[in-house]
Amino acid sequence: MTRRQFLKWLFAALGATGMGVVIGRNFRTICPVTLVNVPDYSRDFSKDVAKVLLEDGMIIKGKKVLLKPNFVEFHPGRPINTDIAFIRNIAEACLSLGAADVVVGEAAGHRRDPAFSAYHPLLRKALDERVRCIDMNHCDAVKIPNKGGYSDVSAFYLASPVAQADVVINLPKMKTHHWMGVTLSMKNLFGVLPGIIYGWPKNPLHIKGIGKSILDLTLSVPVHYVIVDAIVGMEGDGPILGNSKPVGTIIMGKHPLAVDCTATRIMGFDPYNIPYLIYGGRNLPGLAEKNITYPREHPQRYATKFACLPKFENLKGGPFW
Amino acid sequence: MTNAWGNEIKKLTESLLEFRLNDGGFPYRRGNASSGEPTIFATAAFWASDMSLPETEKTLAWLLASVNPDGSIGMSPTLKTEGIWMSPHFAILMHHLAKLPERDRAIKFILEFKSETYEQKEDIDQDNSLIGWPWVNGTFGWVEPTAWALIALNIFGLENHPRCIEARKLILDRRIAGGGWNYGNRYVCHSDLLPFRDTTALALLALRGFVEENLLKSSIEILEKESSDLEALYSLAWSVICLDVFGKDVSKLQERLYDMLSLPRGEDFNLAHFALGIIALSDKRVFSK
Repeated sequence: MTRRQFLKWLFAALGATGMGVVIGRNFRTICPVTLVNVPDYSRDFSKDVAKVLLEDGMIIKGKKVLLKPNFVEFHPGRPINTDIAFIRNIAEACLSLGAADVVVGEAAGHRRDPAFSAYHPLLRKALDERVRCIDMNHCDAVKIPNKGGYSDVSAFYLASPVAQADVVINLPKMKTHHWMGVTLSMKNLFGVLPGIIYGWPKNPLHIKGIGKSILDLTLSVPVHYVIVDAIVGMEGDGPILGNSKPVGTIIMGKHPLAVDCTATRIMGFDPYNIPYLIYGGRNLPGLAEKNITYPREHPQRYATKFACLPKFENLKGGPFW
Repeated sequence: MTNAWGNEIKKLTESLLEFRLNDGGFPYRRGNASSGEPTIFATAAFWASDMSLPETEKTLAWLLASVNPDGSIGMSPTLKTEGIWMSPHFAILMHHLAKLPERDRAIKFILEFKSETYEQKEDIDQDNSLIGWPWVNGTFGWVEPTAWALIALNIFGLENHPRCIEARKLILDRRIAGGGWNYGNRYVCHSDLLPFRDTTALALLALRGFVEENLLKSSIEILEKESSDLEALYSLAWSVICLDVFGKDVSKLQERLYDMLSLPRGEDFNLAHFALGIIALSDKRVFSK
């Protein structure tokens, strides 16, 4: 860690704890993060996914599984969304493991019309007919307490399909983000809150602080597993207007912070330069690379340098530079 | 009924009743609880179809139980503080049903309900000082809720109210350079964002009659372009409603819309959007004078 990174981390941690309290937590939990080589979307990697899920002790058989992709808005040819082929492979993996029910649910942040998100005809066409799609913007909601406490929100209204699922698998797209630097599984949780309560966009979360809201949702929403679509990511002016960035892997694990930090490092950014990831390290294991193991591929193999907006040049760094 | 789609509308409207719950309200989809928006749109679809909603009083009682003391309406009688963005929808329905005290209380609320302003941000090229309407109390103004409030206030003859004058400025300020609107940011981090059909239609309806149509031409073209094979009921319904008000021939689009409304009701069925589609097939001007 450079002096600059250390000072930034110190400042963020002190700000979060009200000065003088312990900076971060020395988690002893070891977080396995599995990378699977998937050069392009034409490959069938559902068997690999199923195998890793089993290796990670995920019990899918007989369970109601909810897959939460990032489908914030849809424009043909732009790598905005978790790829449909990627979603299909994960759904097939869950079916092959005996899931009782597999649902793809999204509460898109920008688009009211679900035909451009959860009910996109291309998504429906790609999925096995046993897989259901649910527009979580227009549905019942369940009130859950805010377990994070970073913002002053006492509770969240969670889309009921998330609350009803036995297993929630978060499927973000690896992208840069014009406010937060990167968007991965933790930011993807904005899409479990119904638009009919939070609006389009979910402005109450912005007002309370995007970083604080990301942390509160990460600590409040039951997510059991994360699989990042890093086959092709988005660099530059993400999350909507950026460009394709082939990376060629999927990143899997039970620990959202560890998975997001690994993805961040692969993108060429240092998690210790991104405040919401640093704060996440106070509550969750996986910020420090020493707490992460890589049972298969090492992320170094996929390390690249995502282009970013000039204001985020200072986020660049990490172990793979 | 003289409408070319008269018989079809009647059947589609009657089919809405299958979804009404015992409490009198309508849910977004089967298995869900009654909610304000589908209940308002379903009731409006009956009105637009010149049909009387059987046991109307039961549905109206459910809606009125969702109304707050300040005249706003919430998501449901048990979630009254959430979803107050649909107060203009409710006011329009009350207007058409000649429930004038309820309408007037809702109007009073709408005129008092304001979005927050924010300091200018370097990365977002828009005027953050303009006041419109938010989705949620205490938040910023966005295109859809602002357009809805304007549409309602235009219907009620309040188009010259200072709130309306400022809100029209907000909507124009958020117009994307190439035409059209999205949720409400036109330019972020040195890039133009992309327009959506539904918000474009709502914004056009809100501005019609108050802005030179030349200024709106590129936005109208977005709705006309490639609509014939659009597989998006909600966007198509708004396109039809808006283009019809602007005097365009929507007969082909209505055929496409009818085809979509006639599809078997699968997992993607949304009762509010379905009812909006019925309104788009009808002759009644629900969202304009």
